[in-house]
Amino acid sequence: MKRKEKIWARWLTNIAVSHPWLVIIIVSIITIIAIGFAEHLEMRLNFKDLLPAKHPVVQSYQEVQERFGEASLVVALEGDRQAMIDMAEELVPELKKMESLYVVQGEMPLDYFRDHGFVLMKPERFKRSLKMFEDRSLVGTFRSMNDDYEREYTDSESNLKRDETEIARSMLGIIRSLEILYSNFAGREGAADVKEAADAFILGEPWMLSLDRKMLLISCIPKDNMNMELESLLAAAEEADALVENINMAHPTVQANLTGMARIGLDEMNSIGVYTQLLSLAALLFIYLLLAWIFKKFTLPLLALFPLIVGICWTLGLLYLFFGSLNMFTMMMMLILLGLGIDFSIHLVSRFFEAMGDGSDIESALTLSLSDTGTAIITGAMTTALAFFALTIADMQGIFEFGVACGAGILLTLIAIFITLPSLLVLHHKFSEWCRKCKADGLGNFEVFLLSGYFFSHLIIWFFRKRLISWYLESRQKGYGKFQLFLLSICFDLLPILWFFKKRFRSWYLRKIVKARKKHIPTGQPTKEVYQSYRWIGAIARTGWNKSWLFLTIAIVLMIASYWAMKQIEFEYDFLEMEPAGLKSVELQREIPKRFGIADHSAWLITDSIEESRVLKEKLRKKSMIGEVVSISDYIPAEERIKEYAPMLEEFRRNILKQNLPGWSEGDAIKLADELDRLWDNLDLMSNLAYTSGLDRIVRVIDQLTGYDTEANITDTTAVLPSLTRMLRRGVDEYRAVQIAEEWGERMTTNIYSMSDSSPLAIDDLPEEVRKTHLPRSGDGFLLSIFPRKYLFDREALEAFAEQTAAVHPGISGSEQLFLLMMDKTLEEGSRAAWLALIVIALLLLIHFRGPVGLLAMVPLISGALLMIGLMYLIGMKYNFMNMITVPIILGIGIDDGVHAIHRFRHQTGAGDLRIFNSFRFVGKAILLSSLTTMIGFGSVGLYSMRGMASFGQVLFMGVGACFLTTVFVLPAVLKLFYGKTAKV
Amino acid sequence: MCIYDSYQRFAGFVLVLILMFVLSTFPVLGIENPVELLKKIDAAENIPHSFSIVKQTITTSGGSERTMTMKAWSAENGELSLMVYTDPRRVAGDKILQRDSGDNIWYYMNRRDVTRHFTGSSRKQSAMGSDFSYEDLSQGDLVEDYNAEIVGEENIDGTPCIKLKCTPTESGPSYQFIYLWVGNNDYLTRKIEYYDEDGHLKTLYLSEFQTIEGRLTPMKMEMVSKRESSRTLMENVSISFKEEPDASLFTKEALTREMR
Repeated sequence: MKRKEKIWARWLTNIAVSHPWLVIIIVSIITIIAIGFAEHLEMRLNFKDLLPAKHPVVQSYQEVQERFGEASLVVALEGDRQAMIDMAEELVPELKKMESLYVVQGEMPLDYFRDHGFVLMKPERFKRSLKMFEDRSLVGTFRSMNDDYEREYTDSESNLKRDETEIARSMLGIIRSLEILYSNFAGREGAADVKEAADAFILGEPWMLSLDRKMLLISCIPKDNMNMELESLLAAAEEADALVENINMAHPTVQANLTGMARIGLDEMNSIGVYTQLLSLAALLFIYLLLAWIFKKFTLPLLALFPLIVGICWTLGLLYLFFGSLNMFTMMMMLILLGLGIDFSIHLVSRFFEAMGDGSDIESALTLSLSDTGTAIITGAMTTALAFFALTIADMQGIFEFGVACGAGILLTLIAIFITLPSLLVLHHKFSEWCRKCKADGLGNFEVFLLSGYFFSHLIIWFFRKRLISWYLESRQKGYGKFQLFLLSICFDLLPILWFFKKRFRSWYLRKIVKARKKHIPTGQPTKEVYQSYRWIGAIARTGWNKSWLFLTIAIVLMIASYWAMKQIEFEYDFLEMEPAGLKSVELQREIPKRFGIADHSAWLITDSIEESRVLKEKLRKKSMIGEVVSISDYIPAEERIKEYAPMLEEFRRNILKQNLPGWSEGDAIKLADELDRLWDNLDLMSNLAYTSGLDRIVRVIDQLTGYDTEANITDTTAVLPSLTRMLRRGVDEYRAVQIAEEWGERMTTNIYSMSDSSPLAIDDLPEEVRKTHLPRSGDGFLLSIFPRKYLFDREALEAFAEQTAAVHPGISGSEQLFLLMMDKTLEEGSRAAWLALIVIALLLLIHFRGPVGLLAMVPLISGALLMIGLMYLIGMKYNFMNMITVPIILGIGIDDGVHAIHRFRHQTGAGDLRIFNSFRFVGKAILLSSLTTMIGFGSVGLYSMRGMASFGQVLFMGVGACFLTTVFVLPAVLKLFYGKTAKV
Repeated sequence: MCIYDSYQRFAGFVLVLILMFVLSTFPVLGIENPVELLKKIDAAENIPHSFSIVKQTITTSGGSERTMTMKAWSAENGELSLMVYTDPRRVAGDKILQRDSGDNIWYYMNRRDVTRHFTGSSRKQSAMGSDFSYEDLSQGDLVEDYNAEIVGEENIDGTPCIKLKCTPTESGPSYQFIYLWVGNNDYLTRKIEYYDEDGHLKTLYLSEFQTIEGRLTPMKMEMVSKRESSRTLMENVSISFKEEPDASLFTKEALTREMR
């Protein structure tokens, strides 16, 4: 079949043949400009950046981030309570000195609660507390507490649920209080002050301690946020990390680590960093070696890779002009371009050498390869680009940018290859001719290598000229000039002279050295060995053709199984499963909710007033998925409430002043033991009720107090409550007891008196940390933080949380809502884009092949994509927002195999199985090679430590492989159905 | 004239058909009296005495599961009931005694050997963290507790049911109203929706009916909380209606005695 030359192919060939260096220079200049732009690209690794910017949930999240900041750095200390507190007391002031941190929350603002405690209480609690603290003696306090528990909690699961947070927090204080009392009654040296016991009883633990009191958290809000200033945020994380590590050295019994989104971001960057670069370089090297092995030449892969790198640089430059940044999706665009672009080069180079092997001259070979394979490449590239452009229909910013980046990237890479590769092939040909001429003159391979090295050394010296000159000048200053001058003379003077006289040099060299072993190698020898066919691929295709029904039946069974698998694969809603495995910062994200009984990150809402915050908080805390709501209203009571409370508090204060300070009477030890026994009963009742209700926070703190172990069903009698009760029953030193009771009574009275202040409170009265946390850095509004009851990692729980918060206020936004939105949008828009891509591809194939025959190219594509999903199921992979977009991508990538195969089949002469054999043994090799290079590219991503990205690479690795297999095994069988009886198309 | 007669006969025929159709769609409205229906339900569901082993699975709003097993006795048509937890170990030996159809409740905690009396207001409290309240567990008298109206007919799990709206009487339960679905033929409850002043609170599903000792009995009862996103499944592992339990079992003093 006579191939028709395309005008554009002729034109490109003419330019390449007549001005190869000019083309390379112009391309290089454009590339340098593009690199200049690309250097300014910012990295946006927050998954929020992938979402539609105008979505209310995203806007709300962004507003909170910008106006209030996020506690994206959390220091977690693990160890003994006192050791942790010692370190925290040293660490917090140092963290506060860090300029990059806006707020450091260590200790609770206990002084504020001590000064205004009663007015901050809600009405029902207020009345209970007034009654409870009428008697502030040691025995009286515990008696009142028992009365209160029996009234409120021992028979009411709903009250336990209502006050879960308060109960858990107060229990930690009670544990501490009883521990101090025990130490004091026992007369232990170094026992903490009884005043501290009274404080802990009434105000709770001063530090953010876990329920088992073995972890302490210090929460930091950096000045910068994930949206705008990622680099400075990561720098803050690094600085805090160094500080923590430094102070930790003086506290060896404490294990200190950082977590939070900033720290995880830093870990992500580090995990992407050196390891990823090494993987990319290894992939590039592997691709190079593979190409070198296939082409039997070391220079050819360089020719294939150079225009590709040029295309990627152009794309990066364009992306800077379009978006100014790269997101998690577009970052992977480079690998996709590498995988796809190399295919264009391979197909073109393969066809070029095939034509050269047939005896064509360079001009004819170039024109032929551009006209023939080039057309198929353009079709493949256009379908791929349009498939990617189909993604731009998405609302999701990430998918939109990814579609633009990959679509434009494919086209730019295509242009770069079509402009640059012909010129490079011409130069390569000239170089080969020169080598051959050298050999014809009698030079061996080693001599040719030396000569090549001699010329290339000029380039290297030119590249390092500045360093050489500065080294030379420095050396001269030191007085060692002559030798360096000699060396530089060789580099700059002698070598150019040698270059100028290279022909004479060569003649001289030949005459003097290699004359004796002169051989004759004729020039213009066809280079058939450069590109040989893969007969085994042809043989597989021929078998598929001859046993088409067998192959098709197997394929259909596999497709049905894959379709079934597609429906079975679950979705990954655990955000942490996307992060690198084994990172301490990631592990802590799971550990903290378990240890504290509450998630460590929140959803937010900006309210207009303190009153609105108060109303919303009350509505939110009734929701079952919500563990805690932190609001400015916790610190500023309503005016009406203060007015209502004031007379009662004044009366209460008057009564306090009238009463004598409580003391200790004979028999009080037994009375106290009785009350502690009663407390034990009440707590056990409450813990059983809490256990069956799933109120784990209450169960865990109460069990610590009583010593009950659910798993072993035994009671640890050394726990503080049994121990203290036992000691009191055995009898205590009366003198010591009087002292303890008096100190207790005095401190309780002081605290209660102070807490019963009824002065109005305003924002200016708030402690600095509280103010900074709840008020915006600019403008109006108050931050309401809503913490889920636990770390949410399944759809049901995420939906329940999102629904419950939205039912109270639609504007509530947080990582849970964002992640749900992310999954839904990716699925919805990924599916839409995939369908659109399929339609576009089908239309283009119909146009390109001028008839329905083009649709056959979709057979290996669709079956390959299905097989890819089947393989995902087999290896137990889940869908996540990274690997879900691989479906439209594989549609773009996989179509090339079918296009090239059908294109070649149509141009292949012959009939029957010989025709399929001959077309597939050549095109099969090119497809295999291009698939292998693409798989190497994606395979390297599959080895990333970031599990989300890795799954993306793994799926595409399987997808590209599956498309190759279906092209070779299934397509010939399908072609047989259509062309089995005809000799020609 | 002849045509007119034919027309009249045809119109009359159509009218009769329409009436028949309308009546056939509202058989209950036409036939059943709500009070009679409640009596029939009470008669069908009244259990003089029983002994069962029940497995209770609570799925909390946070998604965690708690499974407990218990032995349960009832007597005097549900006036008296006793539940004894046998598993898990944390609550094993704990007992809940209800007398006077749940007006008096005692909770005995085995681990601390203490008994607490819960007041009448506790009736509407959740029974040991489940989605059943104490009053849901007590066997009441529908005729005494509710005023009912029939609101329609629906199929529940393939069984044709009558749907009743029951509003509590003064001495009745604490709900605002309930919707109750009972089988057309057996008058056994298939489903109950509970409503309070804020709306739909929870739904009880009764399923897997089996004939045990001549009595058709639901082996599964699942209460799904609409508001808390939690659910409690009670499964009868075994149930018997033959032997009447000893009356002394239902006393406060018996709570502290070890059960055989």
